[in-house]
Amino acid sequence: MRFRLVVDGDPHDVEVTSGARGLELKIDGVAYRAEAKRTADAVVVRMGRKSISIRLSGDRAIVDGSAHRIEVPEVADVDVQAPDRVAAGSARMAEVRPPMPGRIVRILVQEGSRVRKGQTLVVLEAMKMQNEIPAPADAIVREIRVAEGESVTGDRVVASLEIV
Amino acid sequence: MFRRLLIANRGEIAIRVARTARQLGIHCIGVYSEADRTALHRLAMDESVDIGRAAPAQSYLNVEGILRAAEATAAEAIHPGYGFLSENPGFARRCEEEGIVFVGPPARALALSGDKIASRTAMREVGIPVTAGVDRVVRTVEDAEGLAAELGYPVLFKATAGGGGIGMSRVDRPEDLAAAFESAGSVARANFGNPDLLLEKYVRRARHVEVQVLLGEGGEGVGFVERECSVQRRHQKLVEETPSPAVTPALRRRLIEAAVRGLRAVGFRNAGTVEFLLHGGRFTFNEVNARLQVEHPITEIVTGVDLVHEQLRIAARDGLGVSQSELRSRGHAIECRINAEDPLRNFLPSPGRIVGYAEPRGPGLRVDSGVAAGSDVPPTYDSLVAKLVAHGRTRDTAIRRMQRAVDGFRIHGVRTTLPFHRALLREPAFARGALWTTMVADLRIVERLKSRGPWEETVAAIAAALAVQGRLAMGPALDLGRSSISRWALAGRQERFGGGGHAVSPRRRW
Repeated sequence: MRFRLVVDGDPHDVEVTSGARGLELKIDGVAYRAEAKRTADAVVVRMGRKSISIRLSGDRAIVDGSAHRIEVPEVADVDVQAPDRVAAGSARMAEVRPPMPGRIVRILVQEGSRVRKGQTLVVLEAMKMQNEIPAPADAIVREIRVAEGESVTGDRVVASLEIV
Repeated sequence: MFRRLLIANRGEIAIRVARTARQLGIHCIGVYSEADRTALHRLAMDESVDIGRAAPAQSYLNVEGILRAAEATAAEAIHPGYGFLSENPGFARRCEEEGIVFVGPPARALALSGDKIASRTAMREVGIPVTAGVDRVVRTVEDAEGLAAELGYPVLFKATAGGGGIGMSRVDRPEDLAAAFESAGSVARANFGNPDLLLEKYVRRARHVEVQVLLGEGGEGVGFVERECSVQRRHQKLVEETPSPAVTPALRRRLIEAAVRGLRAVGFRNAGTVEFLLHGGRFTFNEVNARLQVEHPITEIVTGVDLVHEQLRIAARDGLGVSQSELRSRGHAIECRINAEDPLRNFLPSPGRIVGYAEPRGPGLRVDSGVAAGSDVPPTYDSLVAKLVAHGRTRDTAIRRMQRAVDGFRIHGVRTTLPFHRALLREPAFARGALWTTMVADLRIVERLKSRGPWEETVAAIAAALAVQGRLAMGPALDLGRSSISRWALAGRQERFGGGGHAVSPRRRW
């Protein structure tokens, strides 16, 4: 399952699956493996050689004795396989969002173009670096919603694609 | 000394310059763009001036706009920091025309050091060994093929007007030459407005060492103990240290002598750095950086010399405050550049708002930072947010202090290069001082990164605890305690935010 976990004001995207060897977690896309056991008044989480004791109470998590404020403002659906940054409006449509805010410096496809998975759709400049934003799957470009030179935020839909 | 100084930069370097200037009793005038209205550097100034839109060309790179700000605030001098207008001869010339002192080298020295071919030629003329290559612009692919065959592969294209590692392209095989020539040329045109390329022999397993130089108005000069900057990624420095673990006292004397002689010969003044490649016990000239460099604090911390103070003294014609004979260097210093980039996602830029921030403290540490809790890191500018410097009597002590400092540095809300530094500092080759410019790629340091750091591990542990709390409902597949977390989340929301949407408080407590 996926949910958003805010710890002391710092938001993180979390994905948890339960496998044969304990829990597999993804925190903002980075994988961690953990084993968690409930004890009388806490949960003991083992990660690698570390063992961390956690007590949950209301909006507090006491981690090895120090308190953190936690919130879960959003619980996403159980669909763990959805490609990163692509929201499926319907099963066959995909909306492409940039991985970070920046300025669109080049648009390399046109509406109606057929694109291959991994093909660069637009080039986004952020922090003096040019970043190519690829198509998440083989698709037809249905709509381009940005213009060259435009500044975009990270949640802005750059293009919508029909997956083929 | 000046009474009023305009600092034409942003972020950590604007704050760094203001610290010294204010300590000298100088009234500091800052500048800021639309994107930096709430930026920390404004608070370091006595006053600050709005110079325009977020795009650099319309603010920090706008020569006339900055001169207008200087005029309006009666600034006597402008310190350009690094980047932006710091090495722009046109800007230095315009300052001169307006009767404002540019704190840096004269325009003609900037023009020369900004042209890689001209500076190679100038260094060769005064007997400094230069990295093998051709001292003219490569005109065509055929021309490049002939020259590369003479030099022997691998070769390196460089933009003659380039800098910051941009426009450099390594070619290992003749069949890749034409494509590299085209792409390096177009990158050079796009970034520097000049497609001209030169060709050098690519030196494998070289070290990057550089010598900081100060030259007074009369040409009196001081050269500092070398810095080694071999830890790079795509020709961008990530970690610097001084002294270099590879330089002997005899070699050090030759490096310093060559750097001072080379800059003096081209009429250089103020602070500059001469970069060399060190390979097989030999050194060859690479390029001149005609500005205060990002990594200048490591030199300051081992020598006790305030380089910004010296820059201001030279510009104000007060003479150098330090001489070669009295210069001493103590211990070892290392700098880690903390950039808003995610090393676990191929150093993808990570702009955003910093929601939590705490700097490490302790013996032998210095932090030059441009941000605090609540700061925005705009996507428009360079990704450097802070520089962490550790000093110790020995290199080992400096490394251990840096390890503790990296672990103790908390920056939440944007991803940073801290996990990279954590991994590098544990690398046996780094600990031995066996450094070379492609070591980050060759040792696959980034590819082997497993974790973003202790904070993310804490988050993962909390997530795991939440998951087992709702585990009763969790089958072997994915049906994990969703209802229990949702109810819990709902309760939390109702209590705190009356059912509102995303509730992210802007600051966190420690």
